[in-house]
Amino acid sequence: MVAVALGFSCKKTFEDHPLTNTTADYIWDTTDPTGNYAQAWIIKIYSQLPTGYVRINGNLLESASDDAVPSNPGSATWNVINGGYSPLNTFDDNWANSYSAIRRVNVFLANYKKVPWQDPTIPRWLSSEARVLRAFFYYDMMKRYGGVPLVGDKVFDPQDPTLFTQKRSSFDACVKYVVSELDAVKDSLRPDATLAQRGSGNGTTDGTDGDFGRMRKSIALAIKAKVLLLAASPLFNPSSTPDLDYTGYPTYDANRWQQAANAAKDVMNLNLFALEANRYILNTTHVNKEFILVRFGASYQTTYGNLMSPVGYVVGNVAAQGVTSPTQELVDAFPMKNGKAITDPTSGYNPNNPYANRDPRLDQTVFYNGATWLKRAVQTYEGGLDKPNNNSVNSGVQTVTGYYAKKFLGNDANNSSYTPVMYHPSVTPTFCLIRYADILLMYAEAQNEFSGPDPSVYQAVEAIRQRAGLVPYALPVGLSQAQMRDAIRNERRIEFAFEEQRFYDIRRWKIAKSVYGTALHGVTITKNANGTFTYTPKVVATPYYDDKMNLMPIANNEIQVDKNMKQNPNY
Amino acid sequence: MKLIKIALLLALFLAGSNLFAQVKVSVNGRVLDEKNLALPGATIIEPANPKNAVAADINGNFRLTVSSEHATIKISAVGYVSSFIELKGRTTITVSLRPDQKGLEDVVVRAYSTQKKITATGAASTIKAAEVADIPTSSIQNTLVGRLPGFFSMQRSGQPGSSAADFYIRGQNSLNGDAQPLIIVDDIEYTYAQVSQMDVNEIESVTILKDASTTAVYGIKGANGVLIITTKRGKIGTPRINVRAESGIDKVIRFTDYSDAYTTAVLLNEAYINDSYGLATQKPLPYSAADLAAFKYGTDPYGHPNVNWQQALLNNYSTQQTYNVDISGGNPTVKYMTSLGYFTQDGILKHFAPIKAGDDVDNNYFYNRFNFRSNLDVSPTKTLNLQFDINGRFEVINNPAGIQEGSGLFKELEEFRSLAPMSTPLRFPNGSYGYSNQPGSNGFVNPIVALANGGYNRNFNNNFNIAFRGNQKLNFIAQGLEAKVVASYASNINEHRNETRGAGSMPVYNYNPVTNTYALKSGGSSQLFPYGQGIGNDAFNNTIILQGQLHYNRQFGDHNIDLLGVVNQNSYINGGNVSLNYRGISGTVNYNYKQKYILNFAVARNGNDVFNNTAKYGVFPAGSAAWNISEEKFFKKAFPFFDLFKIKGSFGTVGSDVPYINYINKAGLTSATSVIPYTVGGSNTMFGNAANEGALVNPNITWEIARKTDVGMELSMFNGKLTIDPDYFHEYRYHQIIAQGDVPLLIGQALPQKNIGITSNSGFDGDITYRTNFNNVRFAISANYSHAKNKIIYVSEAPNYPYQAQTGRQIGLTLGYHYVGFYQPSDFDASGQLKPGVPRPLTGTVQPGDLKYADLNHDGLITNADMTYLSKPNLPTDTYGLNLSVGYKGFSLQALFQGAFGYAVQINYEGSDAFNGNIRPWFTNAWTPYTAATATYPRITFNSNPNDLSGSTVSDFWFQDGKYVRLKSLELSYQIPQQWLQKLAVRSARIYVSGYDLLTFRNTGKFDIEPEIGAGQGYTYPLTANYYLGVQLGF
Repeated sequence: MVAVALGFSCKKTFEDHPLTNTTADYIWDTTDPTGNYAQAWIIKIYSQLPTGYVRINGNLLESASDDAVPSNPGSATWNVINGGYSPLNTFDDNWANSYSAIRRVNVFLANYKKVPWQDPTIPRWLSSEARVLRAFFYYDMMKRYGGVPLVGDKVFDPQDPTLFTQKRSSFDACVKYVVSELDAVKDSLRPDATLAQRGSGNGTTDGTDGDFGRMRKSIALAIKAKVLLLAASPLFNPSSTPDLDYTGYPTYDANRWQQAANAAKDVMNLNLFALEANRYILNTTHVNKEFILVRFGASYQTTYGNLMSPVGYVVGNVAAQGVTSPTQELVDAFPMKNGKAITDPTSGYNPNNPYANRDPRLDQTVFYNGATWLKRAVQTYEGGLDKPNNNSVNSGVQTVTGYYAKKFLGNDANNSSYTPVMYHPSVTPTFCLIRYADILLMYAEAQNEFSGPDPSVYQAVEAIRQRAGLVPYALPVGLSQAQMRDAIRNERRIEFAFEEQRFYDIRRWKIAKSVYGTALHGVTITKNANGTFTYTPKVVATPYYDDKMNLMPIANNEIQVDKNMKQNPNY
Repeated sequence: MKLIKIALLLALFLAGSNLFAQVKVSVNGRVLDEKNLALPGATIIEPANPKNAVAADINGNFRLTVSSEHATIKISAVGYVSSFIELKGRTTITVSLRPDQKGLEDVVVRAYSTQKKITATGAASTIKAAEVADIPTSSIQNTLVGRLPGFFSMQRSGQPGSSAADFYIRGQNSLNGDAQPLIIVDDIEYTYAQVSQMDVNEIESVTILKDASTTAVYGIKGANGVLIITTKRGKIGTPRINVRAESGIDKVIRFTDYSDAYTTAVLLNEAYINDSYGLATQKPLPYSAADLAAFKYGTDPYGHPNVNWQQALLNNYSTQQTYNVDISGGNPTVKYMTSLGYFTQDGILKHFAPIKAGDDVDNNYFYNRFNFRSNLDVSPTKTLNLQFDINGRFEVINNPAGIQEGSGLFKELEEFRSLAPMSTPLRFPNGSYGYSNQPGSNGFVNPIVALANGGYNRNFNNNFNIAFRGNQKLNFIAQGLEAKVVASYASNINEHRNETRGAGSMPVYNYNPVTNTYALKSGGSSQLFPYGQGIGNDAFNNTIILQGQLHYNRQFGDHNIDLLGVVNQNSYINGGNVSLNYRGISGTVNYNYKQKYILNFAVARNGNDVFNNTAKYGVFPAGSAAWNISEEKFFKKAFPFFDLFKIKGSFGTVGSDVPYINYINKAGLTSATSVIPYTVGGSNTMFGNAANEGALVNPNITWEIARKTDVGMELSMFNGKLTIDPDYFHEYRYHQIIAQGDVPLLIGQALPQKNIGITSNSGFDGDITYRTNFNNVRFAISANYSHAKNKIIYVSEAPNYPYQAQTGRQIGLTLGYHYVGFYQPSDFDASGQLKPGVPRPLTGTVQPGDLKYADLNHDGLITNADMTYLSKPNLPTDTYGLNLSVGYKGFSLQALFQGAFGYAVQINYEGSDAFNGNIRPWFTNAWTPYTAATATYPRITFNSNPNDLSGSTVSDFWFQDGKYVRLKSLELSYQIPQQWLQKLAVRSARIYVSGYDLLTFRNTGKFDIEPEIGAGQGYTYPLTANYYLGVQLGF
């Protein structure tokens, strides 16, 4: 009877295991000449590029910089503002994501040749793209941590003992590795699109470049320029801890600025990019003349409009949340429309009417009291629609500075809804990681440091100011190197506000302690009986900052489990 | 299969020693009990020639063929002292058996088998279901706590159909939460939920197996202990019909305390004052003195409502009823036991008339259960016994659907923003309803209109089981050898039907009492939308178990040998998954010499089909030994009052595979991949799908191992009047499947789990019972105690500070901050900023009255570097029970007190957050400058300071030691004298009243909460005290 019972059991009703589990041989399919899944493998790596927008605690990265603070006092970003970050509480930590992407690149490089590629250009392109991506992810770590372990083409097994003895490579070695990788593959990438293929024509539709966003030679050169500018920057050139080679170079070398300037110049000489005359095109398209490297599928959702808009707006029954409060410091960085800083007595700035006749980019970047948005004036005065001081509106969350962030939104002053272009549900959101304006200002910065403010420096900066709509856009002649440096740094700040540049720029320049470790301001606006406003400055935060924070801490776990792994100084 | 062959060979060998009878003589006889009534079913055997054996018939009569007219025969029956009779030439005898007070010959349940109590070696505890059958609770497990040493449980909810307690045997000892014991009901594996559905009337006994020697045969399923339930079977005798009818009420033990509108308003004003700290001007207060007066005196019920929503929506009691009928009986060929049961329990929700009269539905909480069981024994030949068991349970669980807060009605009641006492009046003068629209509210519509028109969610759970067993005695091969097969099928099919209507679509108004006008809620509808319906399948699963056994039991002079071999296979199919299969062989060897020296060895080799081939099968051996010192002559002489003095010990290993049911390993892959969509849509669909490497695979992953040691004693004195049964145990559990926390993230990939965790668990449990009779009074007292404390020995971690290491601590502690007091005004400078040197939290800004935490790393900041492991876990380390019973003639009274301690409850969610939550008693003792010395709650605020919230900044401030003693049950019954019944066609009758959870003594610390509700959020269905009046009739 026992035998009969066991005899029953021999008949299989079900397959041995769930066949829905795909296996590696589906990916590296030796029978698929198109390499369908191998190509899809690369797509996954693209998806690990930074997504920008509200990726930090539901807010902009700059809400932890001198450009803004979170409106919500309960936001976890306040922990960093008040107490900084630490190995146990890392901030914008990109270690795991970067090494995950690097592993995927290395898995690809180890396997892609198993596929019987019909078209030999595809594997050449893909393997080169993979190496450019890997270079980018190293750059993305270097700007945070300095030198990091270079793992080459290695794919680690969890039991591999060398996994537990990895050391941080020197900063120099990392720069050299990234540059050599980019140089090695820059001519085997898929060909660049022409300016005409990128250009959007009327500015509301995308260009025709079907491979936009794929790694090309132009992108490889742009990343190289980014890396070399990082290497030339004061934080690493030289390091303040010269005996720790992973924190930068032991000594200063002015030639690093020249290399950075040359690298930027190489991109300019391609003549494949141009500044879009209308800056709003950058918000409403993703294939255009100016974008060089973009992240597709960024967290730029149709909800971005109501996330950012002042809290008094209700669009399509959804109340706005106004999550970001830009600082007075950012607002004050915008010059007058005549190009003069507001601190210049001849600028025409009127503290009682502070937003009149300003750089047009101010209106494109922040919502200030009286700005027109969706057919009404923004009211950030006390008791106004957008600062109602009422707990029942948006749970009491409202601007703490008197401003809201507008960057990335369309020019919707006269629409009744957020601009239909970028918010159309069928349009993929993008986040621009490198655009041509950045190349110009990188060139200007490097060239100014290397050779002083020569005409090519003026030309690069003025191109940005001209496009911004400053009249006149020319910088004063005869600026000293230091004056030009300040001008370039301010230009970067206002041109790239909320594009994830400022947070790392102030660290790279080692000015974070002075500009961020100090009181940040907002403004209290009271409406007078006669309809005028009184503007009273107020302190909204006094962030905690220590110079050690110029380099980000490596997560504690990495240091604890690998005794060779060194933490950045003073953490 | 190999084992079966060996067993058969062994059996054939042993057969050679058979003795054969020469002469044949017939004896007729009758067996009677102590009252000289017929005792059916007694076994009559000639020990010298065990082939000669029969059972007494319904009238106690038997006819036995013996080998000689001077043979000795043995008459035995369960619960009676066996009697040996020398025939001395007689051919007709009458025997009266005495009841066995000591119980040493009683049969105790073990894995796959039974043993005599006197020769049992392992650690196990048993309770007869009859002892708990009268207790008015829907779930058998709720009756076990406090009665079985080593049994730990916590009852988290009182909701009909969900009130069953989770339980653990000797606590928990797992890093991955794998602590649920294996539950076996007549060879079928059950889950917690299925056990809770069982009708106690079907159950014969409940046994828990605690140590390695009793559980090793379950191999990779036994590490958490085993709970075995056996059901009633028919006995030889005339048909007996038992009818029970019970009816009772469930009274809410206590509702959560929420303050009235006046107190709430006063505190809200206080919060606004606190929230003006550091502002140039005081925020305007939400309520004026006139408002407060209106709340206090109820002078403006529409403008200033004051509603106790719990009272408005809930009754403080509900009802439950149980009906059972069982019929049992049989003759030596066929025995039967059939049982039908119906249980119904209502909820405490009040009924409200719907807007449309024809739409009335039953939306109250309720639980209905119908169950049946038919256990049939057929013996076509003297040596063959066949069993056919069929049983099923059909449940309906109902919940109201008109709930606006996802976590349920009780969460709604807790939320200030949903249902503050001043949110909206019960009803407006014209009969319409409002919505909460006071400051800070979220616009919830009046719950009365939402519930009355919102419909219900109804779940149908159907459980159906069949088991077949065949038992063939193989005396022709070897005396004492038998073979058994078991085949069973168990299934669950759960479905639901929801009849619902969203609360947002219900017509609600704002009423202005001054102008007597009504305004429809903005965006609302004056029309009631039709009901929507949702139906669907929630669960389908089944298990098929096949089992074969060979059992050999034989006495050779003073040597007694018992061998058992089992092969089994178990296939589990859950929903759309492929089947999960187990296969194994196991066996036990029991040997005793004169019932004095006892040795036991058990081993299992089994595995599942998930682990890789190299790691598939595990071998789990265990051994135990016992010495019945009381059987020694010197001991009997010295301590004649001892019936039993047994010392025993066991050691062995048991496994568990529960934490890892993942087929990746089964495919033998070194890496798994999946294709995830990464589509970039719209006009630029450039990138298409993305392919990805799945988490890494650990091909060596395998079962967990628990190494268990147990030493204990069993003492019985004065003819069973006093028994003591203590055990000490230690369990070392290793190869636990946990995540790797000590590998660099540099690897760039999610890591597989590994068999690396180690914990230990040790403690003691035992019981002591004294029972006696004074004149006609029967008296018994029994106490039991269980202690189990675990410790983490290895968990893969890389703590930055020693105080953040889990190693060395108890399992299940919370990482959080250590509370050191409130921030006092002296901590702040004139501008309201913290003075230098006072630790400053990163979360939110603080002011006097906020919670202050220890700066463990002395950096002047309160960061997550200051977190440490706090307080106590959520399951008690100690639980105990005291059971008293007194009987006089037909009356009997029984009371059980049960208590537990050694755990902590975290106050959380709205319970820590005033004005997200309604006002709890402890909020009223908030910090103010005047109450700084005595405050037990931080300063009250309307703006939820994250520093002070249990959810976002957990600290030991929010933990309260859990401890309680309950009067768990109390029963009074009266057995009506038989002479009163003789004229009626009633054999026996009993009436009884009983109660469950009648009294609770709890730790009323700063947070006055129900001690068994685990998370302290206080929004579960309240526990109820249950009272029954029952009648039991036998025919």
